[in-house]
Amino acid sequence: MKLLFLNGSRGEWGYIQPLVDICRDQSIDYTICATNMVLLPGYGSLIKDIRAQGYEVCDEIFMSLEGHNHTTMAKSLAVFMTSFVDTLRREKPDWVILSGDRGEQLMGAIACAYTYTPVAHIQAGELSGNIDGVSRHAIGKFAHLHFAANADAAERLQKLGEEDFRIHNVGHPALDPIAKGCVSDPAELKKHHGLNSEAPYFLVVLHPVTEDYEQADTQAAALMEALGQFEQEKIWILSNNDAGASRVRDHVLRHRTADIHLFENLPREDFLGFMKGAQCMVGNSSAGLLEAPTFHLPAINIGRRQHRRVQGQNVINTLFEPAAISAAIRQGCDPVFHQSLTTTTNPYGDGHSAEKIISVLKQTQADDQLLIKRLTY
Amino acid sequence: MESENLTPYLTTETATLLEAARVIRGNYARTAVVVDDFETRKVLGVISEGDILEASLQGVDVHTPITEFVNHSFTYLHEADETAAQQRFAQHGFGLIPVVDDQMQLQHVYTMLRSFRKSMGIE
Repeated sequence: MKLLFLNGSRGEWGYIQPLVDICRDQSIDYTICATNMVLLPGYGSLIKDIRAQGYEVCDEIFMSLEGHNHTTMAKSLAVFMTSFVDTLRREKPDWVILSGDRGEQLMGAIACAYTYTPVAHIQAGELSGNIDGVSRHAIGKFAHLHFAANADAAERLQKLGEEDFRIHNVGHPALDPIAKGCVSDPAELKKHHGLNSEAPYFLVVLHPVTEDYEQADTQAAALMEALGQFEQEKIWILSNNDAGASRVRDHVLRHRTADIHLFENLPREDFLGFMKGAQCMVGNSSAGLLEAPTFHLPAINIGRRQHRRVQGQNVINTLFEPAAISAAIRQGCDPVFHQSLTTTTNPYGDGHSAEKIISVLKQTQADDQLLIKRLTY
Repeated sequence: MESENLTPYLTTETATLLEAARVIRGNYARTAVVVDDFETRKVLGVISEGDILEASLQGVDVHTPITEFVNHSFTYLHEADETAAQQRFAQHGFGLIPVVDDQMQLQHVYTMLRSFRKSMGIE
């Protein structure tokens, strides 16, 4: 069995790494096709870390056109798909493993479907906001296997006409490293990066909302204004490269204050370590919904990027308005609220997802029943 | 902290890789501080000779703007503290550490070379 993983962002690497680690442990043939932000210096060149850790990489497909607007975003996806088809033809994988909801994953799904390459989709069936939420369900239409992270997502896939045998509720693989304790010590991280060792801090991740890309800088301004009211240091992870990204980055860089520690990219264990030690998480990253509940970490979720996604009790939803964000942060910092989270569970699983996914892949035959899809409705 | 001319350490984000390399060659700190402009000196990041070398190895033209290669995750000090700077030089091997105010405006620069010279009693 040869698996090909498509990786375009650091978030996706969080899904993929637990799986490729199992492949290495079990001597399963695998390779990684790296693209988009994973290759770009301006987004931390994650590919260097992946290669440095000895993972097998078959291809590096540069796809991202400059501009960070809707036109370049769509055209970049087309650039990717034309190259990825050649990757499939050369590598001949038994399975392509897609993750999440980004455009390059959708392009991967289309390429696989039209070449009748078996394709499995991690984090399938969920609701999420903006174009990514639509992309996720489009991937679902092309994917031959769906790995849902919770019962809600599995049920949605069923209702969308997917056959039962294709749907597996396995949880979210990005939780696996947490269950295994692959989390950096927050105290060591603070020391290494020169933060005040005693004081609490916030973890901030703000991505542009693609349909609001013209307001991206205004949204960043609202968040910075709200954060300015708090003396806590801020660990700020810079955004992805979707439409509006340059507006967010420019605003953050030009209005940054000395209490904001910026990072383009962090090793996964360090990101989780910062999450573990934070007083609260602020922004619109899916990590606030997916990983933060495991750490009982309050997550201030701003805007509609994660709209209608399943969320735990740790999430406080608010709007892109400084006063509303400040109020939500104050609630997130409240010791009573923190205390209320200590007994909550993560709706995205128990951290043993990757082994379940590999097990299903091993047991599934790539026959006509799998490859010729029949929509039940 | 003595008054000093910080200009030899500065470049702007519109500079090319070649222009940044020239700044670095002249300042003996293996690094340049990237500011929004030379007057306000708001620090946006740093660029090191390693960053430029890596860009060159990737085949990037030397006349390409440095924007993509600026490191925004750089280490800085919020107040002048020579001992703290020396500790970070020893820990991380930086060529230079900027000192900034609350608004990230550049106030001072510690360099590893000057720190080393001081420790040797040369300066």
